Amino acid sequence: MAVMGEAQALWIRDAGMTFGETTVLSGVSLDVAPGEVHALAGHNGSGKSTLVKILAGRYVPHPETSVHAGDASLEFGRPESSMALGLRFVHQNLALVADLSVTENLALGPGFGAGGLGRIAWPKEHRRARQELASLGYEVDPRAPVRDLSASTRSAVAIARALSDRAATAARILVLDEVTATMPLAEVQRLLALVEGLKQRGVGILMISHHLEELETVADRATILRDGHLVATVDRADVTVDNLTRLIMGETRARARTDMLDRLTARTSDPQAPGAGLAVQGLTGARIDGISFMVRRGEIVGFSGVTGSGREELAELLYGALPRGGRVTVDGHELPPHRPDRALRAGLALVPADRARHAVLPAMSVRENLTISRLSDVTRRGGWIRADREREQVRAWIDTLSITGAQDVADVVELSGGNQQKVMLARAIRLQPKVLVLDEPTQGVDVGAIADIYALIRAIAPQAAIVVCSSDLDELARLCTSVHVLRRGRLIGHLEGDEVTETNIARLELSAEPSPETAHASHRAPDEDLA
Amino acid sequence: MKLLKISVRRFSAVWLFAIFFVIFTIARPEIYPTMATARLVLSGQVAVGLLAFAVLVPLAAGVFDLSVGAMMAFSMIVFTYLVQHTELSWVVVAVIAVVACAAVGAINGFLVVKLRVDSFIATLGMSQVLLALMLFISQNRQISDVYSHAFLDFTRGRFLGLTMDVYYLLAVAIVLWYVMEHTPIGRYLYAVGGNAEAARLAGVRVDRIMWSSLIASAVIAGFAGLIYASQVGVFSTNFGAPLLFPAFAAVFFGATQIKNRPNVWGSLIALYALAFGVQGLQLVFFDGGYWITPLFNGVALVVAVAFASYRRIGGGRGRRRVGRRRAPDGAVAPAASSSST
Repeated sequence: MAVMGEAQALWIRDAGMTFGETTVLSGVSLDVAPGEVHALAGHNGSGKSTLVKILAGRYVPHPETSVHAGDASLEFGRPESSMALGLRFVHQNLALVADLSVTENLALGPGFGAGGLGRIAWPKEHRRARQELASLGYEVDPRAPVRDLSASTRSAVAIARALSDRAATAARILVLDEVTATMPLAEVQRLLALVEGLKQRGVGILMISHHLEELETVADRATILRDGHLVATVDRADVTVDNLTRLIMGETRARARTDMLDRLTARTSDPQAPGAGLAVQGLTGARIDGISFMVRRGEIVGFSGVTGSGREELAELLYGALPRGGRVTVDGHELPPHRPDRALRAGLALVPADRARHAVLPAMSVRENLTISRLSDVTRRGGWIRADREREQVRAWIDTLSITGAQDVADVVELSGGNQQKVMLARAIRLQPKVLVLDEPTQGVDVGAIADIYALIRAIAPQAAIVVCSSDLDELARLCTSVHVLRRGRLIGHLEGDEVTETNIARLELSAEPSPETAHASHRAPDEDLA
Repeated sequence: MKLLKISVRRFSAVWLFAIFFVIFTIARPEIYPTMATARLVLSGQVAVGLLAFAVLVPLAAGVFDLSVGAMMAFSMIVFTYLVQHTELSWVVVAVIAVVACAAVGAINGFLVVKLRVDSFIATLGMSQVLLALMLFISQNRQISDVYSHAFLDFTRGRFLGLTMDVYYLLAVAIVLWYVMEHTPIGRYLYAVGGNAEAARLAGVRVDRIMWSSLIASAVIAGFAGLIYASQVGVFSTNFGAPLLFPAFAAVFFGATQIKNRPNVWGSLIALYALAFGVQGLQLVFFDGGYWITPLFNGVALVVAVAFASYRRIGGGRGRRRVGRRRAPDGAVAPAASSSST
């Protein structure tokens, strides 16, 4: 195995990075010793992924930054240099090819050892693959397609590939980037055992996870980042969930009172008819595991949770865009699953999170994008779309939402992200929905547009029940009358009124109290959804 | 409608046509700029034009229909066989032939929508099945002298100096233009073609749209077969399939015209710009030059699409590609894909 330098396997000094005018990372220094598991913790936007990308040779940081592994230093912006230094990365998506066998996946990158006449010596390759996984504690048929493996076994394949001695230089540092994010609990434990085992090999491990109890279990030290700065590096004894939560969140941030006021008005402005709004019973999806809740007209209810908690699929489950179990009713009418068009007609509208893939209709105009969900009110009998009436409507929306610099006939993809998002919001709001589901409503949206979008959401709150699924805690705190927190597919906490603060949400998201819900989640079968 | 701005980019085929016209008028002034040539070219491209529309409708929805050529041949043999072996009037038989095509189109739709077979593969397979049916029914023989005068006059009659077939093409074009540009159905077609998943999430019945587009395609291709039979006056097993490429070429070239997506008038303009070019070349190279048609069509298609793509990249708004692209869900979608920055 790798010959380690005497002191540190990885040595980072004064890492800094600026995009445009925002500094996302500044003066971060940390070391990883051989055989050490070093946790890197912090919220979205704290600079964790930026640091990882610098290590991977993807970003060129500030000139004062230096990164050493053993006795060599990293040439920034060159992935080959990162590879040559023995830095290896396993990301959440694992970068495996689902239809290829374990052996084939292991050979992606380093390649096969060729036999005579350049052919692949399959028996030898399979034997080697089996050995590589056995050394990580996994008994796997090397001929099996990766698709058929359980979640932790797939991670093991990715890790085996990262540590493989087929590469020109031996692995010195393994970066595990949110590998457990979407993994069932039982599988997580297996993977953590694997990580423990890697320590014996003398590989230094830099581990990133939102699940703080995992870090408490395996980490020897932890470095906490907040807003691009290093908060602290703590030793094993201090790597506890409570401690980490406190360091990640910092001081409680005061919230603007005006937002509070907005929220109260939104809440009391409309008397609620009985049963009005959204009612959900026993909703089940790929990760969400039987949750129930209600959202009444006038309420803006937020849903929060770390990646893998089920928060990311909730909106599409409600809308019927993904297969679901359980009952979803709007004003007492049950929605059929898997029929977004029926959900729309029943009064439930969705603004999807992934704008480019799930919302924008490319090569179509702003006008066509805005009206696609309902054309009946601009169509004459006989099916002729009244261009004048449609244009009038769309121009009114463009004015109302201050979609700057946009003409109704402009191709929608020529707009900025913020303006595209406004068009998608207008598409949904134009239907006067009874329930409006917003999934990451300001993802990839500039600051100015964010304020406009919040104002718009508040303005329609009296007429609709609003669901906001977001990974942006500040957004939830500013927008929502109450917030539900998801963890491993279950609702584990609910905050209302003054309790809705970033800190409180984060506490719940990260808390490791072994509640009956989480215990239940661990009994679920390994998930099958390898993309 | 707003007056369309004539620009090189949006009407490159018109400019191309103008250049051809000048060059070939100079080269062959006694033949090229005559009504006879115009009539020949206009009428000669009617079947290809209809077939292009059969390609266009599903392609707008991101669905490839490669069976249109064989569908046309299938329509011809059903019609010819029934005319030969029954006493039914040609109008009734024509309706039967088109309905038979619609049924095949429905099967295409079933394969693509219900069984989730890639449209490229499903319709490619169907084209071979249709050819087999055609060969079986016709016993692989040419069939002549079975059409009535009334049927032949259906396309050969004249109005304002042009044969009727040209008007049929125009009529279909107008209907399609109306449906595709001015009704919700057209919006849905393009929405599905642009991004099927986004369209579904916007409430469009994507399956229904795809299915209907394949049936519409089959009906138009069936009609094209009847027109072709009436124009030519005989049935031959060589008809139909060879028109697949020119039909696709017209639609792809047409997608660079007027709008940034496959469209009716763009396809028609592209079709005739190419046809008048080919005609001119054939007049210049007396010795026939049957090889000119495919060469010219192929080169013109690639050059036109490359030109359109190049102009857009030059516009500095990210890369785009005209023609096929892979939609996120794996379906093949036509026209310009794009990525915002």
